[in-house]
Amino acid sequence: MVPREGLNGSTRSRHGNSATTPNVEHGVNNALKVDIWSDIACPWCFIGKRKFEAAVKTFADDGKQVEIEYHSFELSPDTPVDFDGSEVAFLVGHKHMPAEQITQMLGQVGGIAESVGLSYNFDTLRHTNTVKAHQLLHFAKANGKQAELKERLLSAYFQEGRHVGRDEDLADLAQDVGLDREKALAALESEEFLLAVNSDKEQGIAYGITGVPFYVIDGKYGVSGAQDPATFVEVLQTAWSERA
Amino acid sequence: MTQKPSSGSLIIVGADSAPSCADGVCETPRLIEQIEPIRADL
Repeated sequence: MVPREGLNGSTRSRHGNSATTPNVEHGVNNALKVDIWSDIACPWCFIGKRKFEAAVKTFADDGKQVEIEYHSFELSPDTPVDFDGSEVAFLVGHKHMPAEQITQMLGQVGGIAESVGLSYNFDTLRHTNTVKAHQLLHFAKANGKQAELKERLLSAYFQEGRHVGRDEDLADLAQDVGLDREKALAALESEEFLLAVNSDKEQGIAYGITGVPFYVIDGKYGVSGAQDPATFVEVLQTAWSERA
Repeated sequence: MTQKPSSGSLIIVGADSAPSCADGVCETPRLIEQIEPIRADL
């Protein structure tokens, strides 16, 4: 089953009626649990996040609650922390894809991102390894700020050209969402949350997850990819009705 | 009820064509915007 960490204190991202920005609360007992496997370096994960948020807004109109927990998935764990080159150069070199195909692909992704209110900038994007970002997300979860940090990391990576692979840069982003910078830095340097990252990855493998974003609704339904909000709403309503 | 094969212990639902990233590559399924979502009958 999906790890249900921290029932007595971990982050509970509770989405209610005005959940454009999630309210973070603790100890939500009646909320529908949604576990999301995703990576930072995943354009469809950010787009999927916006689509899922739109779905939750609809679903929660009559007071139903959704509790979200993010889990780690590394799309490309062999990526170096410091990659000196563009996104196109990375995919050409590491994935052996033709540059023309990549450019076209990124253009399509950027267009769809724009349609959900995001402004991707692949020219300034700093390709990097995301294992430390995932560790920081677990640190944030332990401190009640996972939802805020997830949004901050995705925006920093895709929209702001920020580096999300180095300890000092990540500590700055942690501070942006109200986390203690020094404690965040210490957690990153000690790799205190590496086991938690690996545990998420193992759970993802157990579920058969091969791509992200991937949503597990109430530990029962699996939804793969950046689906339309209507699809998410349908699954959320079904899962909710089945537990009533 | 047209649920798809389960992934692990999960019942997989939603459109097959929904875009995702795997193995470091995030491709856009062709004509994704024109494909009618294939949904499981929940």
